[in-house]
Amino acid sequence: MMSSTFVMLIAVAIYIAMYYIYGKSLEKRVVKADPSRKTPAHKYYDGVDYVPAHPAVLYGHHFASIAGAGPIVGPAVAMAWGWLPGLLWVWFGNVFIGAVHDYLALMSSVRHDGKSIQWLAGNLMTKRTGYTFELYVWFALLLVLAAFMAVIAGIFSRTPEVATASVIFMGVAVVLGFLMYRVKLNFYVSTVIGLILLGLGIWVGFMFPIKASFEMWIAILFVYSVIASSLPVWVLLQPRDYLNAYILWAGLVLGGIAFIIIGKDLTAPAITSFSPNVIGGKPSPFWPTIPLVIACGSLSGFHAIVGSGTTSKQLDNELHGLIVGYGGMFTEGFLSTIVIVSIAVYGFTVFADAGVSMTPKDWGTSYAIATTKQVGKVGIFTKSYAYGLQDAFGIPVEIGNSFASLWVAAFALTTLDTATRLARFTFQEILEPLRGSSLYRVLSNRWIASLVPAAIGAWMALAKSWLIIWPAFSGMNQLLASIALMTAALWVIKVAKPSGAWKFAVLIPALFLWITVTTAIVWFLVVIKPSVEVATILGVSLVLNFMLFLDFVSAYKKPAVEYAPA
Amino acid sequence: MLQHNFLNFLKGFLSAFKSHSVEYVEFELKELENAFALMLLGSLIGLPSPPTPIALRVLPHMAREIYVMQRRAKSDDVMGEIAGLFDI
Repeated sequence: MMSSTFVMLIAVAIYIAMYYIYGKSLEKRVVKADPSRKTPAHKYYDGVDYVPAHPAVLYGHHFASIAGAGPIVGPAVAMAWGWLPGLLWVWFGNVFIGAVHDYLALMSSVRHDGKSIQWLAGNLMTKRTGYTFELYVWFALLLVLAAFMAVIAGIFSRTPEVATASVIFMGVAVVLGFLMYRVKLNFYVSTVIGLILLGLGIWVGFMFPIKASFEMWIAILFVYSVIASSLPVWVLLQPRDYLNAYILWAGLVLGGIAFIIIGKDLTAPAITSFSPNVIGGKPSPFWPTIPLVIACGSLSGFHAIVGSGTTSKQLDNELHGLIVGYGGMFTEGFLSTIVIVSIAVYGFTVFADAGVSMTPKDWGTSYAIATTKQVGKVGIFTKSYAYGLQDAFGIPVEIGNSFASLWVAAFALTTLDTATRLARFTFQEILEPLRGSSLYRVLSNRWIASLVPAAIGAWMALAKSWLIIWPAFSGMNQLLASIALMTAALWVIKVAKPSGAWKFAVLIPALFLWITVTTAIVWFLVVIKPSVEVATILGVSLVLNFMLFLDFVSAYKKPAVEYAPA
Repeated sequence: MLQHNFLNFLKGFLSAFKSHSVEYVEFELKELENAFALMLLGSLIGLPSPPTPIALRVLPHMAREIYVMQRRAKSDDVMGEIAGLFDI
């Protein structure tokens, strides 16, 4: 039997070794990072967008921006294949695809004056490609709304004490926002007040749990997301996201230490079968469907947007790029590793608590279904995690579970709020061709523009087919990643011109990812036969995906002289 | 040396929390600045503007804003910026 200590230490060893062996080679041979080259933060210093930051600040900032509920939920479902395949996909994906993708998105943006990867795609490929990126985002947002509404409604309906704690958390965030931005109370004092109130919130949650059904919560969340996305950011979003960062780091550090020191055996089966029942509850082959389940923990397309959006404008020195971009992804992978290890250790205990009879033999066939139906797709992780904290530090399971659920719910709520905001902006942009007509005036109204995506999201979430919605969302995310990686590959080959065969270090993952994800989505459409709205969203993105690939091929064939060196 | 590096890391880490506590507010401030600049310098892009003498009098104070506006107009990725800010 494999011990959790051993697995966690292997993870740490792989991350550190690959950072120095592979990461440093990418830095030297592919990107050719040069500390004497001025970064946009210095070249365009304006004290607002372009400000050089200390590498540790930027690393923390970048990690807090890329981490969310995604790296927790996906790996928890992927346990159906057994813990080994999921773990290998997280590690393999991190080292060779995800971290490379994040690092290159960051560095290509740094070399192009901090411009975004979408801008680069438009510049290196065609204008059409750049616009397609925006369409992608809107479709992905609909699925984000559906997937996360279902996640939160699931947590709240199963653990009513967390619902209360989350509502109190919102109140605490509003108070904190008021203290920090209106009363202008000292930063540390208001933080301490916020954290104490948060602790009290968890305690009150146990006293007064709010009980409501899944459907009721979806309805409440629908109203919530429309209203919350219209509030000024300082009222709720900003202070809550700030407190989230503390919960995230506390959870990561506590979990990391706990699962290193407890030294429990991984009791869940290492490998179940090549095609256990996962997506839509049907047999899903590991290749190509794994990226439809584990998205953010292994590699994620949204990181390219973060890396090339805000991070690249704050990089002080090109040599800091590796720890921020490449290292940031590893930290997220470590979070996923904790998730997988915790379920592998305590999965059976959690199933037994929920009254589900589970044996190693039927783990493959019934894990995903039992998890989503009886234990909760997040519950399986939060409870396993809580057992870990109990065994390591003696923290009662209920409190650990409440803490971990609050952690996931808080992130998911922020995601919901921001996704609705973003969907509103994007919707107004997409409607641009209609400008001038009365229909445009109606649809681009800020309330309508928030209501439409939130309603579509809630409607999809109500269908309860979470094992279909989540893979669809992951698929969109991974398509975005493959396009961003291809853009980065193009940049590497045409502009950075790496020495020797190093261009293949980017080209091969880019093509591998594109082929895998495209195959997976075709498989998803053919085998799972999702409902009309999900099929339409994926069908459209698949068409866009092929367009982008053709753009890539034609851009690849163009001689390098056509691209201005950075 | 190691201790010094570690302390620096912790220091940086804490300031990451600090900067995380204002990033959305900063973004809104930037938007307000844009709106303000647009009000004063709208004539540059054909919007009706305040009386020219007033605009000319505040112009020297807007030199930096004009540079910032120009750069933002060129990079043309508001969507990307927002998506990057709101962690999805």
